Amino acid sequence: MALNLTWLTFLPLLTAGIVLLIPSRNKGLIKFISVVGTVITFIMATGLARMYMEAEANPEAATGISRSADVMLREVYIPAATNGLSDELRAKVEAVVPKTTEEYKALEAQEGAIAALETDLGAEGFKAWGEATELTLALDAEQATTLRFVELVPWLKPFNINYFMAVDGLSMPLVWLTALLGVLCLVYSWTIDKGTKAYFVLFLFLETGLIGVFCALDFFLFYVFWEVVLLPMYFLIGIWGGPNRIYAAIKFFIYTLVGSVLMLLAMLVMYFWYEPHTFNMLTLMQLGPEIPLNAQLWLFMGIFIAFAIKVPIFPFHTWLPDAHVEAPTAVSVVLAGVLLKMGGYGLFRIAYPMLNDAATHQGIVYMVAILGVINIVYGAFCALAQTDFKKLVAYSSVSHMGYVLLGMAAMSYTGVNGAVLQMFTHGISSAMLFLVVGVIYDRAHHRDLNDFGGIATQMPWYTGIATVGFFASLGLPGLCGFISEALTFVGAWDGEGLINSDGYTGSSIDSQWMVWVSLLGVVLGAAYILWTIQRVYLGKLQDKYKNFKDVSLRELIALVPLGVLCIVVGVFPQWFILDHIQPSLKVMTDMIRSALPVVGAGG
Amino acid sequence: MFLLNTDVNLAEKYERFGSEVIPKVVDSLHWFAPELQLAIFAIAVLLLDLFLPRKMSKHIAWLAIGGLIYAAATTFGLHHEEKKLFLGMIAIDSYSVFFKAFFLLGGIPFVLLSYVSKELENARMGEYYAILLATILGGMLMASANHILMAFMALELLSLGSYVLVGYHKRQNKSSEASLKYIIYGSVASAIMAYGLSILYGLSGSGEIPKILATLTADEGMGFAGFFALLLTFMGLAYKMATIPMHFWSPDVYEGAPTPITAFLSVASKAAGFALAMRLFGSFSLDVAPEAGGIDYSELWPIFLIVIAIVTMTLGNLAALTQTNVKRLFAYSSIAHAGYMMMGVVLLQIQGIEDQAAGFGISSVAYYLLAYLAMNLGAFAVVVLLENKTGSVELEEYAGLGWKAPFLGFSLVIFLFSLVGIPPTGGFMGKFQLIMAAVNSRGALPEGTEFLSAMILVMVAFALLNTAVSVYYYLKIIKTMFFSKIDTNAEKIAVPVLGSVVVALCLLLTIYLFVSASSLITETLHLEIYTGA
Repeated sequence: MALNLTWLTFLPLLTAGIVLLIPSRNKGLIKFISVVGTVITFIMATGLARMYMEAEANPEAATGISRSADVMLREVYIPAATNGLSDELRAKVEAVVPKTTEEYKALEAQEGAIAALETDLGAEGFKAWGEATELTLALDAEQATTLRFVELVPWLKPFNINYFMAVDGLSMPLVWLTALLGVLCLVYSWTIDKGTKAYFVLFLFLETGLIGVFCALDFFLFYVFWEVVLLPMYFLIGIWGGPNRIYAAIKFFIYTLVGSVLMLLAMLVMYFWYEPHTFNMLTLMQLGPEIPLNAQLWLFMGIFIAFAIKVPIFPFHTWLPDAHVEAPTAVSVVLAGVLLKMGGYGLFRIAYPMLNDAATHQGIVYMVAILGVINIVYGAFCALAQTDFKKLVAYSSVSHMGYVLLGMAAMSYTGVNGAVLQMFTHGISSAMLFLVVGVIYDRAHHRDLNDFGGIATQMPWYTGIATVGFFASLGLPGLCGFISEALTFVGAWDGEGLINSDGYTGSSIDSQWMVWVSLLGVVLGAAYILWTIQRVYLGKLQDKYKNFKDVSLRELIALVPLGVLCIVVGVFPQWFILDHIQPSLKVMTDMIRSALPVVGAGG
Repeated sequence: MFLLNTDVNLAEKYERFGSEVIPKVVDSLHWFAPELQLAIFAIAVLLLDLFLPRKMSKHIAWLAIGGLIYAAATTFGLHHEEKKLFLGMIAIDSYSVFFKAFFLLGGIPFVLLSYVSKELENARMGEYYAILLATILGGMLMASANHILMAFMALELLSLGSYVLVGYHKRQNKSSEASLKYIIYGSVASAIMAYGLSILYGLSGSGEIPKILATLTADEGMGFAGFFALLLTFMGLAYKMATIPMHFWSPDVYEGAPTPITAFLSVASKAAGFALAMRLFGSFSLDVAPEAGGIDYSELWPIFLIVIAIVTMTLGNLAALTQTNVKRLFAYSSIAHAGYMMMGVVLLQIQGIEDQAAGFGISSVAYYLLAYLAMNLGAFAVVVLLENKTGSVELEEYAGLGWKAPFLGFSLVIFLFSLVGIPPTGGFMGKFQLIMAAVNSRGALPEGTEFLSAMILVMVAFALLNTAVSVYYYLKIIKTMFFSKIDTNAEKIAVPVLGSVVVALCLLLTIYLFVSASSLITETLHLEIYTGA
């Protein structure tokens, strides 16, 4: 078993295949094999993360798959594009492949130049020219220097669609988080007794889809994984969910599908914009500025809505509370921990870099920032009003994803770092909170906040661990949530206008009232979380809760790693994650900001 | 046509008949072997039925399957070059070979499905299979017809066989009613189409399709007369493809017909309609130089088809939303899918569109038909097998069936997701190509067609919107099967092995069309229609 992204992505699927062959009465074996599969996946993810860190720290020494994408493309994949041609044709093709993006743009601007090449090189030669050109442009993208573990195999040749996988500082933490939550969720799901086999198979299938989304660098491949996530999620909510599960499942499905349909349309328009047509994300990033602003705005809105539904951004958020309330605990954990991040990740990976003229357009900057503020404040207010424990946590997710938007809209180094870190930390803390809800729900069989009280005396260990999660979510200094929220605020605050000469990287939001309003979200967050702690854990213990046992080993295995992570990320953010994601994010931010108008130096 | 040429005197005519016509016909027979073999097998099936005891007649299915395989092997074995047979009646080209293979190989699961269906257990199965083979022959001829007479006859052969098969349960009111409705609609559609074809013949002076198209393009084109003739011809094909405005028959007929026949109608009959439509409505232009201020029929025609596509898919999907009978639901769903496929047909109709973009249109429809064969046939196979057990096709009877028959349930889920167009399935790849071909064509349009270009984008938007709508009713089936009554320890239903094989094959094909699509797409991109050049 080689250590690469393909194995990492498809190992859960392979495990699912093995599990399918086991007769469904051997429940123990099914669970055991599934967990083993996810554990191996997690170990691989950790190994890749280590390799990534080492390569990042010392890029020159990187060998094998750790080499950055530009090196891999130049040394391995571009020569492969012209393989199979006769020597003569090959030399001819290689001679006319543009060496830089500028050269390509000049060629494209020249009326009929590409058509002339087509007749000159013949069908076969022109195809190879297209592939080589596409990859040369991809190589030019700044982001290629931070992407590692590249795998590029032609898949649908007639349409120039490749199986193109790689990760950088943006996706690596999310991949690792997915692998981690995969293990924890399956361990937590050990008690699932209804349709055990189907449940574990679907969960493993889901994990493949999720990891795939974060690794895919071909837009088409990304779309495929994006849709693949839908199927298992629909069943997991629809079969193992609560009383209103059918409504929640179909709502989730239709909302997401409407979004993906918009994304598909935008994706195709971008594909056909350039000659040769391409889905290669890196190439699309290079060519993005070719599209006039007007068209970019349309495309941006299409893609933005697709991701906004997933994030979810107000007013597309209404599926989330329904889905969360109905979903079984482990599914909620994945939903909050990873699925929502697909939206944020998509904005960072696709919408912003590929359409950076639109992304830096003042209207869009304000739209995203204001939506972020609405998410933060509105989500917090909604959470405050809930009496259902799980719904409260769900709305707190809406609120916390607002920080991601705010940081993204700011487009400063600090803001973007904060936003990406917020995705990671929210993945930890919200996953933990849903587990906390699950633990108490399994015992009490209800989630009515007003009906609890005094649990701390009965379940001290549980209360202790839960408190870590709550305070991490609240943003208490020393725990993970604080770092990312603080970075976001700092990043969004520092705005003196859209100036990017002299390496100035202030916020692109040139007014500070949004940060002021967002700070309200922190206050409200403290309110609903402290109030929840008070209602559930403090006070007098009711008689009916007197026989509750403290957390079991299974629950501890799921909860403790997340609790530890909360503290580690809170205390050593730089060492644990920020150092490793910063280089990638800097490259990405620079690229997005390159579209900002330059106001005279020192202006 | 040669034989109608009155300038030649009689003696000369006979001489030419002997020296030119007969050798040509004899030569044609060699290329016509697959069709001949199928016809012989159909007769053999009929004869064998006479001598077999009634109880054994069911097993004639194997002879029918043998015939299909034999003819398919012959089709693949012939070295194909573009040519016309029987003085221009039939065309041999990669396009017709593709569809012949499609009908012959696709016919096998229909036979198997009829074999395992309990519904047909006590019917006279010998005749049934003979008619089924003849109907498949009709489909093959439709796909390779090069002459409007041949096209019309092939369409009638396909229709006549279908009428009988639909009403095969002659003692059941619903089946008879379905058959009658089908005949009435079919006759009207055929009559309209015959009228349209006669005008085409009158306008161009020839019955050969390439010549008609060439005449339509030559000089100033045909303007309104050409448009009118095409419109009428389209009505006949719309009936086969089940697009508006000739779709009314399909829900009742689908519901009343024996389920394997419903499956056959929804796939083979539709495929034959599309095959002929793409050949008949190849590239032509109605107005080469339209008058200033007048109607440009060349632009009106594709816009008319775009509207047909949009309305068909929307109507099919909206009507399917409220269905409670699975067969009716699939009837409306198949109307919607005809609408999707029309998107590819439209591209061929645009005057002055680049060849590559039009070829992409053909390719995407052909690929979609393959995917549609896999997923729709698979879905119907599951419906047949469940009907064997429950005796009902009402959706409410499906509650909890997913747990009782896990393999069928799982397969149906994949087929339904494929019908929605969600990866990793062939249906996704097919729809993706249709949409891609449409978006692609916008770059290949001639100058001055901004409105058409915008309409194409509107059509694509509708297709995507419809995808989202269709989710609701497809998921309704899944919901009923898995979510409504969860009983994980339910006693499992025994499924006949042969039935499972059909389902498994469809399942594999559905997935295969996604994962290894590359070579097949290349294959369909190379399909070429004989132009008589």
